[in-house]
Amino acid sequence: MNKKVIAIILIVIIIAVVGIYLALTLYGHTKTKLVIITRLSPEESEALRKAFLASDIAKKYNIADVEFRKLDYALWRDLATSGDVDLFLIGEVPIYSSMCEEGLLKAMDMKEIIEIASKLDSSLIGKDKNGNICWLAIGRAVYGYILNKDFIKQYNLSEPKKWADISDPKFSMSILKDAPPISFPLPSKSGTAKTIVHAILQKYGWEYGWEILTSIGALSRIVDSSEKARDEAAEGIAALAPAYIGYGILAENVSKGKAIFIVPEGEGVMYISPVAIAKNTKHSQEAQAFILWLLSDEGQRTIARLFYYIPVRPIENIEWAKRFYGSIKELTFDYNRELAKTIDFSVIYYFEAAIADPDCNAKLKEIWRILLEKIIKNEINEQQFEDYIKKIGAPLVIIDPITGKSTPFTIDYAKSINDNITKDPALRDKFINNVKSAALERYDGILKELRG
Amino acid sequence: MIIKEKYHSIIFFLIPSIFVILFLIYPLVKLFIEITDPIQSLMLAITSSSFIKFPPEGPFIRVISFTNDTSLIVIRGFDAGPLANSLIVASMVSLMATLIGMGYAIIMFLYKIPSIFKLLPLLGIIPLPFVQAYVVERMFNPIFGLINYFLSPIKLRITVTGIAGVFLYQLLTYIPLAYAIIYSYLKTIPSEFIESAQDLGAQELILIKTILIPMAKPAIITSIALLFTFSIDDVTGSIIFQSDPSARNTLVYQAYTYFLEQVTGRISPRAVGIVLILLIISVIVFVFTRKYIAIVYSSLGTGALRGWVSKWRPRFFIYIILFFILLIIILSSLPTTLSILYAFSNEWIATPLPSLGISSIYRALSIPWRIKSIFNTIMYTSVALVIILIISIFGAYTTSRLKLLSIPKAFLDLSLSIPIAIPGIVIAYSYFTSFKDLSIFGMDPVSKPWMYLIIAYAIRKLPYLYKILQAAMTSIPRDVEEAAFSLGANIFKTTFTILLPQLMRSILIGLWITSLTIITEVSTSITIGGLRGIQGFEHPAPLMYVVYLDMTYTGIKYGGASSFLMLLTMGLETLIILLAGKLLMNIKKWRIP
Repeated sequence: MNKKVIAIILIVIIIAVVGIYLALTLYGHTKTKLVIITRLSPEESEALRKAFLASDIAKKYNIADVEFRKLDYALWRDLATSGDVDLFLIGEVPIYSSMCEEGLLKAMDMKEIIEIASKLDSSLIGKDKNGNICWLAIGRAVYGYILNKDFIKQYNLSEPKKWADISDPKFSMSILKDAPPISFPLPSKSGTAKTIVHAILQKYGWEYGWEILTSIGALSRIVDSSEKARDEAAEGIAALAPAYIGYGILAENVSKGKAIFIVPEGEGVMYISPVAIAKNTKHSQEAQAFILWLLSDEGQRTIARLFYYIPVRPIENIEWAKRFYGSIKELTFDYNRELAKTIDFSVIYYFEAAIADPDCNAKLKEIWRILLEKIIKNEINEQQFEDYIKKIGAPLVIIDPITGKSTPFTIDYAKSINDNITKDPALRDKFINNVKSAALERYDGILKELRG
Repeated sequence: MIIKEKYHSIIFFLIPSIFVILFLIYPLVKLFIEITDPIQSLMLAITSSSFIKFPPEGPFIRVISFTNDTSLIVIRGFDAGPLANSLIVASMVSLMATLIGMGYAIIMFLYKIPSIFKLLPLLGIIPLPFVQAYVVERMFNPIFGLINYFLSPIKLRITVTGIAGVFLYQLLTYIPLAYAIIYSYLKTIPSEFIESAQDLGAQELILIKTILIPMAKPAIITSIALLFTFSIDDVTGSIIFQSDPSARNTLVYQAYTYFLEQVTGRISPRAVGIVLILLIISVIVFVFTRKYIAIVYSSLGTGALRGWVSKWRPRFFIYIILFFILLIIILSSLPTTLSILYAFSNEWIATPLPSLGISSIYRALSIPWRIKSIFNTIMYTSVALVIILIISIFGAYTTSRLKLLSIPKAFLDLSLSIPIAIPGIVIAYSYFTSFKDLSIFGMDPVSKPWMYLIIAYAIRKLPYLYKILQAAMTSIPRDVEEAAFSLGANIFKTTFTILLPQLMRSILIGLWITSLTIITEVSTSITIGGLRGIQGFEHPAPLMYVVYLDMTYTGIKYGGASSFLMLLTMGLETLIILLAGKLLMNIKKWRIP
């Protein structure tokens, strides 16, 4: 090929690539752009962005674009003070509360927002010590689980009606065919899993709650996101996965009806989706305009349509909300967020060390498998099966990483160590290690006993 | 004049040295010494429960009978704890892949065999991270997997999970690499050696034992060392096979998952300890094998003066051996073949093969952030390649040509060669922690992740081109340069107008290999690359971060789209390098008649 032609082609390609890149990168930089840190997926963010940008409020406040960034909670604190970020949207209330306490959120002062907030239930608002509004709920949803009927049928399992039913040997028989029936995310990576863990502890009490959670661990494919758990239940790789209603309905649609979303009676948890302003935002008014839109009739309808959220304000003509949430009051219970907050980290790390850790989890599965085999061979009866579950699931006695003394993992102890393990990473690693050691010792003992 | 030359030499030495001190040594020292207590971190990692499990826990294999007389063989492997698992998997994968690759390479080299068989394994070289692991998992799915589809008439099913799944995925994807390294090295053996042995009556086995294997030793050791390092740094296998506990018991997965605590954003000292262990292992492997790696690099892009052209026809027993190795080679090409098919499919849900169609292409190209990620990756790769080229030229010239004291020369050579042995996750976290304080200037990794991505790519992939150039420069006689010097040309002019044009072929091969490894680089892409999200047309995330999100968050829907995006990006970058190469070759012709 002629060298000049090659040179021209190359130059054209380079100019085109650089030109398109710059055009794409610089587009919209002259107008106000809000940067929002979120837990929404890219698809969900894009739908919300389009709806907002088409609104009158966006035009009135000259907001040209909204950029959503789905980032791990680990980075939120740094971002709140970076000045690069304007808002936080969706995610865990405890995160918002602790950021509010640490002064990382900017108080809302727009008249219209304060007026709307004054009519909201107090559980939907987070305030700082001066009584200013730190965060607001923009919607509510419910947590339950996805159940894949095909999986249940294929392995001839019982259908759990509530969380406690998963301990039923009839539900767990698929584990003998190397098919764990549950897909459960790590609570440190998934807000859904974390809320379900707290909900089970609150609903069933500390002792029984840990027994159920240990059973869940023994029967689970432990994964690192609620999306993966959702997909596994939708595709029929697992029978059950915890989910919020939006993911539940998505799974129903993808699986063409093979998977259904269930809110276990009296065990559903109402979920609050918050929004807050970053401390060092450069667009305080525009950020509040976005919140105002979310709380408007149009915004509430949009998030109801996109995420299956119940509006926080009374909005007319959302028929599906009546259909899904008509009986929700009977299905849910009064979840105590304050209690969850005081034991949040100790509970997460305990679960991940004693139950989800690869070594502990493998042993739990082995114990469960042996128990099922024994029950099939009539070597133990159902009562003995339940006794074993109590034995493996009862809260452990661990070595306290601060005092070095043996301490039972009670709710009071969980409260007392919560702050310490949050602030001191080395102490947290020691706590995790001590819990894991105690769990392994217990599981090894039980395995030895079962193997005779 | 002498003072001026000395001054130029110092510049040649300083440019690469400053680069590695700033972006390799400083961040590593800061991470392991200043930010954390290395001893405490190591102790926390080593003394954590079940870090090493002896004896390993099983069962290795389990046979499950179903009521319809079908038996399911579940291969899970032994779980020996994160340290032993990583070491055992890396050792076994590297040894077995090299052995199989070597066997196939020797047969292909020694006998007259149609080229299609020689090219077949090369298909598997195309790196498609995440998708290949996902495909391996699907191939062995107990219900709808392709392998089980073929086994169903005999009422048998095989599934591979946990650490065995990680092992199998790595083995299958690394066999083609081992083959490529060894086969291309064999091709550089001068034919005289083989012809002389033939003349002396040596049969094939003797020839293999006394000539081929000893002469291919550097390639064999390089293959083992490189694959060991790749394996120990591979987090994709553990991510894809994570639902079985043992797959999560690898060093790299533990470091990747627990390094930054999700809720509080604090660094885990135990994870730092694990990262340190990863680094120590990789460096030990590198130090013991670097001599051989250098020899193999020097063979790249050169070729033998007169290579051996086989005239032998395989005998019957060779056909039998070839048949079995070929089966493994076909199996090892399957993950890539199916990944490519997946790129041109509508979906792949609960069936042995993806259903062909254009939905994946539509999904890949209809969403702004995916298209932007292709642009980003091409830009980052191109800029990183320019940096790599500059540093490699200065570095290679300094270590191969300049008369310097041996200690600074050895320091520079080691610093430019060692990044290949440093796990990507180590570089990623060292940048994140070391440059965090630059936020006051808006230059920290959170504000400008693209900057650190480019540097991380450049640092990590530097050794590929550096070693090729160093070896090539060493092999070129000094006569012409000396003539240029005597005519008054300085060191810069001599290097860029006399030496480099002679090295064009080596440079282009090096750049192309490097570009493919940058495009599919996982560790830094999914850590630093995701720091500013992936919204719209403005995000700075690279392609691999989008692939990672699609494969882990958006699930089964985007496997095909991810595969297509990676193939497209690699194709575009290859085109750019080819065109640049053509142009540079022509410039060479203009300058040197």
